Amino acid sequence: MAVEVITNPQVAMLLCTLGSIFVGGIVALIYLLLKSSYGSSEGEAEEPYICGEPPTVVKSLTGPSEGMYWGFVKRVARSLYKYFRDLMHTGRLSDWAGYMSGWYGFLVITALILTMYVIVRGVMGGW
Amino acid sequence: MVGVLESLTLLFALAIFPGLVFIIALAIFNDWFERKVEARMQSRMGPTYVGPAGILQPLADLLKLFSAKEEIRQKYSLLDVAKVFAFLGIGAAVASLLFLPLSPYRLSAPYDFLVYVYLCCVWVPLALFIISISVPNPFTALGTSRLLSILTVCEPTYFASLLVPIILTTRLFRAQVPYSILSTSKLVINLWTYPYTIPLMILATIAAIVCLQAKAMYPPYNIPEAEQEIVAGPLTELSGPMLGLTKLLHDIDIAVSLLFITYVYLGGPYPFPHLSLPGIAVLIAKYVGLLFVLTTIKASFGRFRIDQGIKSILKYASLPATVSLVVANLIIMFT
Repeated sequence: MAVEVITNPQVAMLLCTLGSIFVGGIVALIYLLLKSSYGSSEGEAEEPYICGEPPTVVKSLTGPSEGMYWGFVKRVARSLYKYFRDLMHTGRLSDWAGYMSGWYGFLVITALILTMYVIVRGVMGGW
Repeated sequence: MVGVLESLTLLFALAIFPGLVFIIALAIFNDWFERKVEARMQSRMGPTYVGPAGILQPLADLLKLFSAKEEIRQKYSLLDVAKVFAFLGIGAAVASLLFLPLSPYRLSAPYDFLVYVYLCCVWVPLALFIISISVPNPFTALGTSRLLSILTVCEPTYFASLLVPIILTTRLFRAQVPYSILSTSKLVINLWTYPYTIPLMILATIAAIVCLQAKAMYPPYNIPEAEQEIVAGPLTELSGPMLGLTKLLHDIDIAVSLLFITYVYLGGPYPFPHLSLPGIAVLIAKYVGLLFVLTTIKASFGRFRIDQGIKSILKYASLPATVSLVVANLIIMFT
């Protein structure tokens, strides 16, 4: 029959982490047993594969980290980027202030509504 | 004596069932099923040579990579670090199975879904990311940046959709352990019988399937490893045993995610017990049905561009997940 263990989250976390390491160890053992005996671990290291070209054809082997940010913003979130740029970066300080105060006002009103809801629920005896 | 028995059950659950041995077998079955069904849809035979109906072909491919193929060590690589992360990634995915009712050692704790998220949505993608960047190459870097873009959108979405059954079962049915995977798996079948919760469950399940399709890098989300465009993306520089380990990690991740969707969203074998013929039949039907949906989408679509991919995840996964989560909270608030 199944063993059902109800515990606290910390113990569950600890058990799972130890379990991960245990299973990872078994996988490592299986890997070492099965691993190809003529893997070139001790052999000569190869040049990276860039469609057969030498590494000199690229400026660097990995892309610049800021490229990832701009790649995401300009390709994926292009319309969002354009919207925010046109909304905020008009060159007029009042546009920026209006935008920021609009959001700030929204947050203040949301916080007020939630606070009132919590107080009313508490007074009504919900909690 | 009880402690010894518990420890032995835990070790059995981790190493054999539903642990490493079972999950590798399931991953191999998944691979065979996908290849066979996809081949049939495209008027091909699919695997036929190894084992009955070619069912052992994925195992033969894996063993070939491990024991017969050469591991090419690239000049700038950190293959040993990549291997350690592959082992830990596989370990994390397998350890998360302890939370399912399928396991003979059923672990549950309040808010244990966060531990599941930590194991499967943090450790496994982190392992894939470290493996990818451990062998520098322009194609690898581009593929990894695409993978990260997809994960940035689909992991929070999966998390939001996972919260829907967990919150609803905890608050509506007074689960024995609040916000736990085990309690949710046992009670979620009831959510498919209430008219108010059925639409929410449908939306959350659709979101989870789209997220899994994207996370698994299956078409139309095979953008990170786009063949003919960026060679093989994160896999470009991998070969032999290291490629085998990475493929194994990827396949185990899909098998574990499918099992979690089968249990946490669709209720596993319930309302029948596990150890009954109808229970086993229902469990297998739900699992294979999900796998068939995944394979059909895989075989029906061409590859999206990265921006199309992200937009479709936002449209067909993030939006349904957010709507169902908000409505689920409103239902709880007013009941």
